[in-house]
This record gives sequence, C-alpha cells and structure tokens, in this order.
Amino acid sequence: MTVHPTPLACSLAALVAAAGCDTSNEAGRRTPNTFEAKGVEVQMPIEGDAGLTATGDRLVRERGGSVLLTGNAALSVEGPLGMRARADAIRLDESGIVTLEGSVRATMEVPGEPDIEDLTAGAP
Amino acid sequence: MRGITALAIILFAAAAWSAPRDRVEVEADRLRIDHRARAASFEGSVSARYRDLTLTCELMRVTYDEAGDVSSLKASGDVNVTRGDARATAATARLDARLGILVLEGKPVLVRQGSRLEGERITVALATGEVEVEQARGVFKLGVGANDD
Repeated sequence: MTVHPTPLACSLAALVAAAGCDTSNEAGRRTPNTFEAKGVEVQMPIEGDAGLTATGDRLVRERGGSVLLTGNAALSVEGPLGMRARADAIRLDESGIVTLEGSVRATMEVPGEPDIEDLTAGAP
Repeated sequence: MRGITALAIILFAAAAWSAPRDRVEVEADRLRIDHRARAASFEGSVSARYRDLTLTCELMRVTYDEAGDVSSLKASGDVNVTRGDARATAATARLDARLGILVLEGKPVLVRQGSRLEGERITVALATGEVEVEQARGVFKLGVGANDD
C-alpha cells in the first residue's frame, strides 16, 4: 500500500512510523496523537510477503510508540493462519505484537484432515 | 476399571473429512498475535467452532510454521468439547488438524446418553468418530434412548 501523498497522510505516516507501519487514508479529523476517519488502514509487514492490515475509524498513537485502532476495528492477515478478525480495539506495538481486545471474533484456516480413504488405506 | 489399556468406541458421529482446508471460528475476550513467536493466543471465555465440534476454554494457543499453517492448537482451562450429543471435559485439549485428532488430557471425562467414561487420555479421531480412552473407567449404558446426564 502506498502512502497517500498529502501532507496530512504524510504526517500520519510519520505518526505510525514508530510502530514500523505504513498507512494510507482519506482526510479526517486529526489531533497530535489521534486521527479519525472512516476506515483508517495500517499495514504492518510480518516476514517475506506476509503482512497484516488493521483498520478502524480512530487511530491513537500511544505512549511507547504503539498504535491503537478503535471503531469498527478489523484485522486481516495475509499469510499466517489466513486470519480475519474483528474486535473493539486493535493495538499494534513496536515489537510487532498485535493485540485485539473486547468481543473478539476471528476465523482462521487450518489444514484439512486426511481423507477418510487415506486413513483406511492399507487396512486389511 | 483401571488396567484397561485402551477402549475404542464410537461415540462421535462421523462426518466426511476431505476438505483440503478448514476454518476455525473463534470468539474470545482477547487475542494476542506474536509473529516473532509464530503464535496466536485467545484468552478469556474462548469459544471455538471447528466443523460440528465446539470447544470452550479459558486459553487457546495456536502456533504456526514458516508457511503460516497451524502447527499446533492447544486449549487449557476448563476445557469443554461438544459434538452432537457427546460432551467431554478436561484440563487441556490439543488439536492435530493434519492427523485429524483431538487429544484431551487432565482428568478427561466423556459423557454421552447416560454413559460416562474417564481416563488418563481421550483421543478423538475426527474422521471416523472413534474415541480411544486410555486407562478407561466408568459407566457404559447399553441400549438406545438412555437419558443423558
């Protein structure tokens, strides 16, 4: 995702840079440590081509450099677990740990089990 | 009836298990994802649905490999598993999705239609519905239509 080339977006990009994230968004209401807009997106690389995208309607830069997303907070992971999740709040911290809090609803992919025919193969 | 090494019985209804990938739906109070540890932990009032199996617990930790596939799924704290009219409780549960087995440990108890089995370890083969209870002991009701506990 490319950072939206507006001063506001650039400022926001700098806002979340401490958390190792890139972001793009539409214009919204901003204070020194918060940004409010419909569907603010924050992307964070994981490893290789994998990465996650967190969205919300309110972004807050917290002390210590973490970023908190609230308001229709959602998480999408491209790669590990194929996870999709929603929660009241999503926090991304500098160490790469992502925490979802409040009414978490998530789905993740798991490998299918062997076919029942595979299980019985070779049986007398 | 300690001393019985293993007792295999059909308690869980079997289903066709052939999908290459399945989805687990989880609800919890909190989810913590640590990519460096390749782990995701669901905490507080965890409820996970995996096909027709529902698992509730206080903590569920999922680890994944380099490819991003689940390598282990472990539940702990007041584990309760239901599938159809069968219900099992234990201190911990471990799902091996590749082998299609669920292993319950820590005073596991299996209840269905008035039958109650306890053991050292209960292993459920999800594909066949077979249940293996190690060091089994308990009451097994014969007949159809027995009242559930």
